[in-house]
Amino acid sequence: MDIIEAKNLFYTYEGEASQRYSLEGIDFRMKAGEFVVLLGQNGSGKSTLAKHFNGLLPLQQGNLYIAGLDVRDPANLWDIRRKCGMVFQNPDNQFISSVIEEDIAFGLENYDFPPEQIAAEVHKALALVGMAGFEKKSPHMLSGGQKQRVALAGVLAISPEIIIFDESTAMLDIQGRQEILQTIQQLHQAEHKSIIHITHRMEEAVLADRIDLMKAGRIVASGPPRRILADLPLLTSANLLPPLPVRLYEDLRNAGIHLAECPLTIHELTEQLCRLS
Amino acid sequence: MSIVVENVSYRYAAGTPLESAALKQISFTIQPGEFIGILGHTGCGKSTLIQLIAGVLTPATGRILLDGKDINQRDFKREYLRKKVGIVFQFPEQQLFEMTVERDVSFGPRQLGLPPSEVQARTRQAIQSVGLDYETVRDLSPLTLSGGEKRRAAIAGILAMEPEILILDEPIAGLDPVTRKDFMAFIRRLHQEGKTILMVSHDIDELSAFSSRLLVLDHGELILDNTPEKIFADKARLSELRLGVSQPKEIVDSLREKGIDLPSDIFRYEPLLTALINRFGGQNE
Repeated sequence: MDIIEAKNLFYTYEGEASQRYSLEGIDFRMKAGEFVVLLGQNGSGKSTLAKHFNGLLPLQQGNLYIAGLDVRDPANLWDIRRKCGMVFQNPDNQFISSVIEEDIAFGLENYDFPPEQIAAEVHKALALVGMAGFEKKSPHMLSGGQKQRVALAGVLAISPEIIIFDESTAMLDIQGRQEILQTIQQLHQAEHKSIIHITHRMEEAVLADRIDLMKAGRIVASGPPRRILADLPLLTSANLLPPLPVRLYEDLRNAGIHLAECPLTIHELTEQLCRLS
Repeated sequence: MSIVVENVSYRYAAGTPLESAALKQISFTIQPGEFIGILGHTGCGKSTLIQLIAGVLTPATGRILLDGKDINQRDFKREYLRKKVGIVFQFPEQQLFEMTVERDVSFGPRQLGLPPSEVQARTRQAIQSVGLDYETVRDLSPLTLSGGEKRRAAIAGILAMEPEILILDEPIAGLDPVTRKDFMAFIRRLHQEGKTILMVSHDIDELSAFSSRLLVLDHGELILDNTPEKIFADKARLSELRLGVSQPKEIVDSLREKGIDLPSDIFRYEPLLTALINRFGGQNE
């Protein structure tokens, strides 16, 4: 059984009579423990799709199962939200308390955790994101990366199997972004969480097991980063730009300089260039 | 039209136990026609600075002068500031409020008492200039647009005011790469048409590709104010500030460390490509 099974999803924001679909027949499957990046231009349906996975948007058409639970059954909603947590773009919009430990305890209290266990769970969640010791602080005194990690701890506290990052790195500076990416990789590799990461940064997409490319409400390609990110016609057709090393590889090739392989990262690129000289 | 920021300091929660200094003794001048990028970590005071220039916050010390006039003086006409200086705050799309895109974008010009034909002409031009199709979106609710479209609709509302100075706080965060590229090309066009641009961003690649001058803020202090060439030349200082460098610069530095001789002052894509072609061209054919 896959942890997410979506079949033929359609969604419109404009009522049933509308022909303007934000999702147009999405089939999406994800194995437990997979790390999937959703790529696509603004308005291609990435967030709309992701918001189906934890019941933030209701199912209009199609079938969707999260960890075997049918999203259509309202009785499953709480369980689904517990299995699938979501971290958003702007960390400031996600805090409900001015004390970090209270903020993180909120989810646990809602799920009726025994009060005597809550402090330990809060500590565990903060430790997972490298923020242990910040329990009594205010989220508003933190840096962007720290805020986003606290928002993530709030999600992790209820032990979801799937974590969705909806452009959670977009507003962060370089340092904050690296903090979140390291945390994502650690959750994926050490905690075996299933990760869906929505981003516009190609250097982040490189880290995924699989990239699903969206265009106008459809998934137009799905595969490993090495195949998707090096495929210029495909990226162009989805209105995306390649990572800088891929662009440089192509421009060098057009100038008669041939690297052995198309590099995805700056490290791979410089290695290949060294081999030329 | 110039803006002078003179010894400006600002403190949050002044007079309470939570008081903290957001900006300390900042001075710089924005000359007409400049394209200035502002860099710095989250919390360094970038957004506070913009709010001070917008007149939304009042400096604790120092002055902000628009064409020599202190914007916080009582007799200063705030409408003048609003007309001449267009400010795009973070997440401008959260400020869309009208029933249709046309009504939203035209809100500013309508307040100026312009004739309706002029209001409509400005609105149409502003919407087209952000890459939206006027006829398609004019009657849509702003809420039905996608994230990137909303952002652009909100910015169109600022442009419809035809400001001379455009200040943008993280305008490209969250935009997809093509929209980002189009948007930056559009900002460059506005700059070429004579607008002065001040842009805050974490995207060092975009800032260094477009700015003629970079300001670096750290813990409320303006610590660097120079051309991108000069700023990128001091690598030790940049890594101390943990700001990183543009990707082309990273590639050049990494290759130089590996013993490949390339000019060290490259930080944009096109010069990098040219240098690599000069260095490697012809040897594997």
